[in-house]
Amino acid sequence: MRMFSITEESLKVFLRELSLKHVLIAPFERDGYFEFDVLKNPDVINLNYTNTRLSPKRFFLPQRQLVFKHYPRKGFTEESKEYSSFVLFGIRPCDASALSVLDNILLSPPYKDASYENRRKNAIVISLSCTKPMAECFCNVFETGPIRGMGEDLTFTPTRSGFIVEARTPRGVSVIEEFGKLFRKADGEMLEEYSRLISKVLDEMNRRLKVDKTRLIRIEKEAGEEFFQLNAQRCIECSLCSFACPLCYCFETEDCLEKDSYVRFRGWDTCISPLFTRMASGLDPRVTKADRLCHRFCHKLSRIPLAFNAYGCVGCGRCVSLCPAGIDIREVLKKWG
Amino acid sequence: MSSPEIELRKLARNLLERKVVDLVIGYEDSEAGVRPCFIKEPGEVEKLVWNPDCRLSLVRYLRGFKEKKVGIVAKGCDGRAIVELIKENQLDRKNIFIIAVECNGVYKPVKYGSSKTRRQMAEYCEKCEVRVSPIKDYLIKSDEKALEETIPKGDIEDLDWLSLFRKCLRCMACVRSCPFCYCTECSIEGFKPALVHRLVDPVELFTFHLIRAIHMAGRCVECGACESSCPVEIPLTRLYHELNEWFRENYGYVPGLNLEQAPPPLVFKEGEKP
Repeated sequence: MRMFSITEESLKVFLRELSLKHVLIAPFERDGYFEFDVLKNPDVINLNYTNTRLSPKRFFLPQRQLVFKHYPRKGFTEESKEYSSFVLFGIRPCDASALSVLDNILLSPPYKDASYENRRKNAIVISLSCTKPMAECFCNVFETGPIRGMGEDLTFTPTRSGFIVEARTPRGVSVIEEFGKLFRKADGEMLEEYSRLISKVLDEMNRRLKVDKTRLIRIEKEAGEEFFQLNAQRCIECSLCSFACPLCYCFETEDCLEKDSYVRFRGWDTCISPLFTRMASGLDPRVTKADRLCHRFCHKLSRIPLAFNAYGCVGCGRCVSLCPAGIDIREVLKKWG
Repeated sequence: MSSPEIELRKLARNLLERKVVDLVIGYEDSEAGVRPCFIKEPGEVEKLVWNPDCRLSLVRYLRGFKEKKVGIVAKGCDGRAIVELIKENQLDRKNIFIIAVECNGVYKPVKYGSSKTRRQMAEYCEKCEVRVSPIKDYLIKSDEKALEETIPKGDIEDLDWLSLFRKCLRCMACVRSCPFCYCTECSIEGFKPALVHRLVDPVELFTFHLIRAIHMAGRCVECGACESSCPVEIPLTRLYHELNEWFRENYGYVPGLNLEQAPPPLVFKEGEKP
């Protein structure tokens, strides 16, 4: 068993020591919302948070990054391959699961995303279980939460007597070993509480929304339905759903000239934008808004599962809550699931 | 159910049955919150709701129905936007049936993961002086009291706009939800020439927001669609309000109040200083 426990006092010490040894990224509150950032002072970490408004994917897939520079005289300089290691503490299991799905997609040969790989390799991901899921959440559908996710190295779960820590990867075990004196082996009572907690929170979520995710693959064949037409009327074509999504990984590139060089940047893009598929010739395979909206849901719920054996949605509920027009992916799940 | 809601449903049913309009754009309730809906059949009118969560301006949807007769649920600011768009030749008054609803202000949205649970009135509603659309085909009076004003006021000079714009995700929600952003290609999306290199530098995003702010001056009706859609809550309407105030002082023009007064940028007066 790789189950350990840590008291709340020891956790504070753990975070302090972690912030001294590594770059620590953790959640804190700002203007009524929570966000992740590099923290020097671990005292401001707020572990009673629900979830951050924007997903932590930007630490692995930055919104804008330099791909290369080209100097006419000197030639190319590629993006620096050196990445500092960091610890991402306290992300929710759904967001951690999104990283595991991204690993499936972006790290499968032959098309490896080098910059993602380097960032991912140098990161220790520690998740914090959700014991009080929000109204928008539906991670139970894709089995990406609420207590255990898929992509994390360590899972911290709050219980009455401190935190239960589960080491999920060899890297997670090595972190436990590094701070060995702070952790203890979890006793039987705690393990029992842990399994009770898992079934309790899951039951609660299943009562709200229960969907058979394997049936979602049908959505591809039944596209072009009235449902998408209706929601497309509503869609205002902003990129918010994709930008807030912990899993949307599409990017675009932009070239520009600097004083003595030519540079290429890469950054987030979205399939909801009418410019996403428009080609130089003017041809556009997805002309209407309904086509684009349908593509977004088909890609997440049918094409990614068929190609990568994982679902393109982790049920964090950000797109549901942030969409100005109230487009709700749960309606798609209910209709086709 | 409130009485404006009953009246609204009755009116919508009547309009659709008598074929006065082809569709009614209004608000419906859903699990994801109040959202726009498009009612085509008289049988669907029971979906319509009216409450302080009816936030997003519906005027931006009128663009998509230019050939049709459309009934639209309009708050005061939405009505002003329609006036301004008619003056800019973007809408045809004949094709729009304005269902003016007396508005007592809308709630500020509580977004994903907020630590606040108390509902507050949106800041832009506090500055609003036009609770009823200036042009209307039917008026529904509200029976509710105005929302509590609870937001602490701050000075616009206190805001650090550069750091606010640095938070911008360029998700375009402000542009796409705005009734006035009807350009077929936005300056931030153009590639040839690329006015704004959107991936290159956060300062370029500042440029984009300045372009937008200058285009909104003297046009913005402060409906708050941009601000309430913004995922990082940049207080855009405060910026546009300030520009509108400048416009009012220098040209004596307030956007969207009547159909007769032409917008100053569209008229040339002899002897006018540039």
